[in-house]
Amino acid sequence: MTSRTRPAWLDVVALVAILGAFVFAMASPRIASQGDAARMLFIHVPTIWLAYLSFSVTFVASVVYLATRKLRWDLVAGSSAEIGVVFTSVAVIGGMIWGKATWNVYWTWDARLTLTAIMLFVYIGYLALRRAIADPEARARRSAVLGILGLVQLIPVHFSVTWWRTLHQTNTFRPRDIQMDGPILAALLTSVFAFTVVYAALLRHRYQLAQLELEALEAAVAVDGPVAGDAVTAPTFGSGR
Amino acid sequence: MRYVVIGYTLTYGTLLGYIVWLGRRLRLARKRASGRT
Repeated sequence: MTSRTRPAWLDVVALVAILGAFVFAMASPRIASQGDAARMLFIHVPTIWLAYLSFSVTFVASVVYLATRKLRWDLVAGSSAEIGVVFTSVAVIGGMIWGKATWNVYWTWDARLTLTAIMLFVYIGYLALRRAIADPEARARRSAVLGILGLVQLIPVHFSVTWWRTLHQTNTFRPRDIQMDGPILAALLTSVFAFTVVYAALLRHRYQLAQLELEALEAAVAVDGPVAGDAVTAPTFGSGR
Repeated sequence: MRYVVIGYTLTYGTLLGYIVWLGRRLRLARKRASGRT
């Protein structure tokens, strides 16, 4: 195995953490008001946290790219956004399943649900934009603008449950007003930590892939081969005989 | 409990699926990169 293919310590920590989080979640006591359905808390909260984290990293990397014009920051932004889209999708669909268990409906046009879905579609658009532009510099510049503007949504998504009267409960984790029993809080924090480590491990691999894709693109451009339009020569004017 | 099973299967299943997909793309990209050198 080369150093690139050897499992890194971060991957091992991520695997152990995610398995530990699962055990903690299953071993946590039942919540009287919701029964077993409350165990969804230990996957729903970490996945939406990762959505916030991923898109925040995309935002920061986009700002740094525009400031420095170093392509590696664009690769970080794009890599983080892809992981963010995966976890936001899981958060939305997982939330729908939890909604069915507690509200008896999969979907309702509640402010939190609707704004989160809009955020998901905006970042799917961000990934589509990246695929639509072949030139790395142009792609980096344009997607950085969307990566910065996209984060603005995070504020209404997060505060929607306090700004409007919604069906969705208020924010689960309020550091100044913790209303959870110790074992449930411990399981939740373990889950949030585990998913964060998984995000870091995934980002590392996704960034490596982005680097390889960029190298492949640069190598293809560098090859001195025939290019479409080469056969067309400019007309010559003059004697013409 | 049925919804919890579905929710956990979906979450861990999606995570596993993404890891497999990412791994395949990474392996392919490395193979192409080694072919260029």
